[in-house]
Formats: sequence, C-alpha cells, structure tokens
Amino acid sequence: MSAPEQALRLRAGVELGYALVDRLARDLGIRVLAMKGPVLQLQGLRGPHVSADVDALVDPEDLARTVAALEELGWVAGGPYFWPLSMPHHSVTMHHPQWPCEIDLHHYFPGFLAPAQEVFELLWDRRASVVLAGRDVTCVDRIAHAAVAGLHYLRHETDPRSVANLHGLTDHVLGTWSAADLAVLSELAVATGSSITLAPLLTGVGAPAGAAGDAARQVGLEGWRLRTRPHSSTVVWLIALRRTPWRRRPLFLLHAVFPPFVTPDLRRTRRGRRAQVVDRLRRLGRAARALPALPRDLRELRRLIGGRR
Amino acid sequence: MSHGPLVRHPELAVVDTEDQVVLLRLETLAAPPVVLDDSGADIWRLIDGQRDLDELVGDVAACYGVGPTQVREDVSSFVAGLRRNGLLAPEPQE
Repeated sequence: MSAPEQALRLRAGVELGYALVDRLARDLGIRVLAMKGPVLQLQGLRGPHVSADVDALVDPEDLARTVAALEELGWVAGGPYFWPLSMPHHSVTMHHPQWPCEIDLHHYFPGFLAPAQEVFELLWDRRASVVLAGRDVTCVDRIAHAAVAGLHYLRHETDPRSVANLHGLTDHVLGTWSAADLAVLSELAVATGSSITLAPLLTGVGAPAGAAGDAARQVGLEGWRLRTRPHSSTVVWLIALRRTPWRRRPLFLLHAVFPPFVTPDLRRTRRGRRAQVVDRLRRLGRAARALPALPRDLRELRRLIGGRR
Repeated sequence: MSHGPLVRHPELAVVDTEDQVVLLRLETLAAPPVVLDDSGADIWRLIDGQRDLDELVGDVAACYGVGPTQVREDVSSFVAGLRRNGLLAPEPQE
C-alpha cells in the first residue's frame, strides 16, 4: 500500500471523486447530480477521454453545506484564479493535497437561463445513475446531459476541442436518438430557458423548434452572448479594467497577466506550479491573438450591452 | 487467526486498472484512497469472498511460481494490513 499523493493517478482519482461526492451527498441528504467527464462517456455521449476533475450539479439551496462538508474532509474551496466574470460564478472548485483531481460543484450551469432552482428540479426529476468505481452514482440523465454538454461546448465554441466534441455529440444524437428523444430534448430546452443558447445543437440534430414565448424568459442572454463571443475573454478584461478605479488599475493589470493563486497551498505542489505556468502562457497567447480584433469586438460589445460601461 | 473466507469490505469504491487497484473507504471519506500496486493488486484481486487465508497463500504462491512457505508471511502481513485499514469485512465472531 502506498501514499496516495505519489501514486494515485488521475483516472482513478476522478472515478473515486465521483463516488466520494455521491456518498457524501447521500449521507447528508443533499441532492447532487454527477455530470460531464466519465458520466458522459458511460452514457455514450462522448468518446474515451481522461477528465481532470469531478463535476457535480448541487441543489442550489445546499451548495454552502456541500462545500462545508468537503472542507471537513480536507478539501479546500476556491477557484485558483481571480477572474472578472461577465457572468456570475457558476461553480466552486475544490482541491485536496492528496488527490490528483479537483471537484467542481456547480449550483447552476451556464446557458440554462431559467432560475437555477427551477433548472435543478427539472434535472433532478429526470435523474439516472451510472456505475463509477463500482458504485451507483446519481447523475443527469442522457437527454439532459446532452443539453449540458452542448452548452459547455457552445460556451467554448472557439476552442477546436469543443468544436470537435460538439460535432461528435451531434453525430451521436443523430445516429442513435429517436424522434421522441429529440422532442424531449426540445421540451427540456424550453423549460430550462436554453432554446436559444442551445440552438446550434438543437438545429444540428433536427430537434423540434422551441415554444415561441421562450425568448421572453431569456434573462441573462446578453451575458451568455458576451461570454461566448470570439476573443471575448480579452474584451471582458478590458471592460472590467474600465470599470476599475484608476488607483487600482496597475494591480488589476498585473493580475490579468500573472493571476494570483487564491489557494496558497496549491502553489506548493508540482502540479499547481506547472498548471500556473501553462495557464499564464495560454492567457498571453489568447490575449496576443485577440489584439487585432479588439477594436471591432469592443464596438460590438458596447452595442450588445447597450453602451453601459 | 480465523480461517474463514476473506471478504472485501462492502463499503468501498474500487478502481481496478491494469497495474493498480485503488480503494476508497466510503464510511471514512476523510481517509485518502489506498493504492495497491503490483503484488498488492494481485492479492486483492484474489480476495473474492470464497478463499480463506490458506487458499489465498496457495494461489498467490502458484501465481508467482514459488512454494506457499515462501509467501505465507508476506501475504499474512498484507492481509493483516488490509484488515487494519478497514478494507476487509470484519471477521465473524464465533
């Protein structure tokens, strides 16, 4: 038997992490739905892939209790980086020095624009289960999961991997789902306020069009469009910079290029240091690629958010 | 020492890959996962709720092409470690 921090590999860690979150939730009577990662794979919605984290959708009312329970087990809350979000935080990332993966606890999923509690109840009513690490784990059912995955890929639609994954998901749905499944997907999109955000997938698989009145409840649609636009992250940083008082702008700019760790312990691990370097290089690359298009994007952004600063 | 069948604890999450077995105790979630490599993983796979310690020793010895006396001490010690770590079901009281 060996020390887990030396030998526990990512794939095993992720599977066990899903089992851990599920068991913890059951013990506390908290409703939690596993999603993404190996759950997608087991439901046939994605090909083989080693995930880096455990994703779970938590009853929004019980997010704080779930975070506290994980903290009692030695997990540390806090996304590693400061980020001037154009949309509210949708998850809490938790780390543990003896685990190779993170746990992302979502209290809502971006792109479902209906109220978070309403979306959770809809997804919970449709819940299914998969076997991970030899245990039954409660998860989002395959139809709702296609919507979750679609929204995730569409949120990162300039990333080639997301484009490929969206194509793979579309092909899978086209090849295996019945007309009844597609009708359920369409109804779910209406109910969760994702008919518009999910439109590329719905159209791609030939799902029936959503109800005409659906657009009326698309609160937050502007934020979604802003977040999913090409180069938007750099634009978002510039918008946030303009909203920052002059005296705080130097520190803001420093953090934009060299983001500080919110969780100090993470900096001490080899994985944390490597992730930090890789992340900084990626950020600089994204910023450099976005520069030529910035004037145009800023103009469009001003129009999109109605000229607000 | 009892010679009843060795039974895995029912409250475990288990991931068995080609070269290691990783176990998480679901009754004590604060404890980190236990990683069994090489021979440890081989022995774990032989603990099937049917074999007792003597049979386990014999089968481990056969796996490695040696005599039972050569592995008895190591296997016994490993099994005791599994029991101490809550990875085997408690022995039934006589």
